[in-house]
Amino acid sequence: MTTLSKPIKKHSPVAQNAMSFYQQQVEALIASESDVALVAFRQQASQHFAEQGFPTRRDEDWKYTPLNAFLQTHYHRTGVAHVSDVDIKPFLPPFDVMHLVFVDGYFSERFSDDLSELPDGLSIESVKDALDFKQGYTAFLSHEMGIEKEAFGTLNSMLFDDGVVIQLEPHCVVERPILCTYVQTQNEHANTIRNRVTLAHGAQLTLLQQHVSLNNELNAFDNVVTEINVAENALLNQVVLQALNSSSVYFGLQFVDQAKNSMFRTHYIGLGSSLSRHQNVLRMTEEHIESEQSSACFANGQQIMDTRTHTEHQAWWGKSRQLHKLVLDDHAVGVFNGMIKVAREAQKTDGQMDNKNLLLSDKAKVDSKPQLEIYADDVKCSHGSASGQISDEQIFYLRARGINADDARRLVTQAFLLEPLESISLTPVRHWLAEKLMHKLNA
Amino acid sequence: MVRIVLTSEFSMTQTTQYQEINDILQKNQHYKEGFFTTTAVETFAKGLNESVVRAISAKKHEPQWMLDFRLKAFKHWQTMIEPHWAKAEYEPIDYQDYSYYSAPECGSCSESCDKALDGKDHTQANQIDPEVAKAFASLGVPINDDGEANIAVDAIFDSVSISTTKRDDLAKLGIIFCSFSEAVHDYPELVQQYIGTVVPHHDNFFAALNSAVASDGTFVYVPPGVRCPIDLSTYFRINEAKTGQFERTILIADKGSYVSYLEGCSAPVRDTYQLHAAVVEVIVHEDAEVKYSTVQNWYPGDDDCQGGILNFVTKRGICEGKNSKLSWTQAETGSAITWKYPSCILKGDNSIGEFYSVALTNRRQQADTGTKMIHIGKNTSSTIISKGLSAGRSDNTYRGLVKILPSAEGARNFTQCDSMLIGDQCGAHTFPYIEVENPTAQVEHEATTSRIGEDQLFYCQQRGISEQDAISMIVNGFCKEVFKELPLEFAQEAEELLAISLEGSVG
Repeated sequence: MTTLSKPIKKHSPVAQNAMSFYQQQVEALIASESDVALVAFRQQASQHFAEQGFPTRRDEDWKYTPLNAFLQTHYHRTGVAHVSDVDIKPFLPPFDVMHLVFVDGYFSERFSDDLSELPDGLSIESVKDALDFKQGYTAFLSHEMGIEKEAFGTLNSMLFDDGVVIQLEPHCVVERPILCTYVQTQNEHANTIRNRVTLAHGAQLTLLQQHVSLNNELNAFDNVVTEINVAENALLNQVVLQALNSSSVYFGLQFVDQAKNSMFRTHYIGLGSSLSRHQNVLRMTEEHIESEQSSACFANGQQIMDTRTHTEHQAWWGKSRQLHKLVLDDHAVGVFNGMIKVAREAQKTDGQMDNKNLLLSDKAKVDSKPQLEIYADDVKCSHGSASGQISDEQIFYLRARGINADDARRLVTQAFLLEPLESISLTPVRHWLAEKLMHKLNA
Repeated sequence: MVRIVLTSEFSMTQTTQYQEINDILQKNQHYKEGFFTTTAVETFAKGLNESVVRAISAKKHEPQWMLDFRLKAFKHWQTMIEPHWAKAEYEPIDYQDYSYYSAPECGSCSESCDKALDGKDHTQANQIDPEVAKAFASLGVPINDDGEANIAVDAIFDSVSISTTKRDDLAKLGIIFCSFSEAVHDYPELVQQYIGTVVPHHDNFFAALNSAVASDGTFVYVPPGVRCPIDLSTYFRINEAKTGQFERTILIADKGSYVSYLEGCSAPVRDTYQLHAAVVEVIVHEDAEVKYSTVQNWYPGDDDCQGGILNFVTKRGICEGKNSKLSWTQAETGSAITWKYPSCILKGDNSIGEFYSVALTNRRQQADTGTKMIHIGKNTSSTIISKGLSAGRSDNTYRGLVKILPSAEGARNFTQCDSMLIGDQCGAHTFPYIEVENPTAQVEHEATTSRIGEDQLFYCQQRGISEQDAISMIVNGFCKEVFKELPLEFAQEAEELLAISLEGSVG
């Protein structure tokens, strides 16, 4: 007779090897750790990971994201390698920012701006400092965001090295954007980063994060978890630029909680990595919340790019907007997965999610899954998804005006890909990102 | 050895029996097909094992190859796990608590009984149990050939086909229209050639179960170049309590042919869940066209959906040849749980797949339904129009896959999923899967969710239309795109069904 118990998850030998490798890593880390609470936290995560394991293609959320190649490489954590100013300089944007640099996952005081002269109401610390000097473990780690539901979230809790803790006091408005640059310098190295951003009521901030590789040869693994709290009437503009080299791996998880009348805007730009997965989990818990989540990704070669959002409307008058664009060339694989969940209490919700994909080659592939789960009746929710190639008519229109075929194709692609950036209000930031995208497109 | 139990419900005194029926019907006023027929029936004891599978096959005097097919499927089914990924909550089903065969005894034909059992002489009306005939009469299903109806009907009662009308007229055109059991005997080559080709026995849990214990179903074959002049239809009726119905339907449209096939169903009001796991296989050859319409009105259960039908159906068609076309139209209003994804495999170049659906859920019904469009051939195109209506405390989910394989040069898909919520205790969900592997394909998906606007209601009421009628009008307008695809009488029936199913959902 058939058994109805929950099937036991079968892991391939490769996955089992990888799991025991990361368990060894956490054991070593625990052995060298003195903070009792932190040890307990890592142990708990490690136990949970032993049960959870790495996802397989049979998991609904991982159907389109193959992990085989990732699991074959074991990424160590060895500490910081030596880099010089010359190495870091090219990553600086052409506009004024407060710059924080992380090398191989660790905060680097040497390359970062001086943190002693920050504007009033703004506090920036590395996670290491936050753990050492403040209330330590309790302040940093004890909250319910559902991180443990994601395997890579659990892995992050087990192994995180450093990250940034940004706090804004009530009504503190920071005009100058903060830029966090995460530089990979070593081959087969795991950079496990844990960030926490808290905006008190009425505060405003622009936060830029970029992930870069020092050179094109190395293959490293960035695993980032960012927790964000946006309090009443606060405003956070965020940009994540993933510009690693094409052999590295990127897993980014963002957990966002929004309060009444707050506004959260996030843009993800995907350029690098052999395998990347960027995921927002957004909870709109009170009334009159607005949010925007958009992304622009360009994948070529053998790249696999996965963008996903999970948006929960939990109270009245919520408004969410999403525009996700993927351009795929060569053998690239693109994945989009979005979910808008409207709770029974979230009447008058206005949610919109659009996903548009452009395929430039015969071998490129895209999997899209825009989803709605709605329990309230007085709502306006829609999603749209379209995939296709550049239409001949558009090319003809441009060629008739004397533009050659290649340029015409480039122009159309560019216009398509840059659209999500239009809602970025800071012009220099928008130009900087557009340039990065165009640079890859025209290469 | 299987114990065969003969139940005769006549032992109960008639008064108490009618009282009970009345009580149940009172509770289920919204379901007018909820009566049940009392007649002498032959029902297998509850339970499922290899000897039950063998006994079903023996009952139907099936050839060895069919038994082998069943046993192979049963063996595979035992290794499978009941799927629970659908957006519906239900307790795991105890498959041993159902009976897998039930048929009316043919009391009026004792001497020809043996002949009747091998499924051959069922067509003559005088052999039909009068109680069963009455049941179909009250459902408005013609089972006698003498009617003027411009439709041929195969009437299926629990596990067996009772009658198939207009067969002789159709046979003159070369069209085979008979029950599945008859086809196994009379057209073994055709059945062997096609069974399991579209839905293999190992396809999924319920398809495997169906392959093992398939009861009856309809078999249709339309020869090359023939346009079937009348609509063919099957009416399914589950009667016995605690039985499962596992019909298997195969429809083959040979080169250049056309057929329109309709399907209706209902079941009596019972207080325990009944199981329905059907498999439908459609094969469309070059230049042929098949229109497959369903009005599903299985008993949804009482106000908490207790006792309704669990409807787990695998329907799939393949557009085998060039320029073939397959169109699924469904109006789903019944069942406690619906798990149904009529699919098209578009293999032939220029083939067309269509899916038009209206799914209505009320009370505590849960429906997870949609389609799969697999584009393989060049210039294949598909259209999906899905209208979901949820009322009461129900959940209505659209789940659909559009897959463009690398070979599907110039493929085209358009999908539109609209949901309407009536009341604030229900849910409407959309889970589309879009997989594109060819750049020349154009795939579009749109989904919206809305409700009946207060201004729309106000407008109608101001003109003297009652709230109930206004809602009915607005809902019909919402579903119009799909209903226009249904054959005329069916469209009317579907509209009426919607109105009945919606009764009492607002207020």
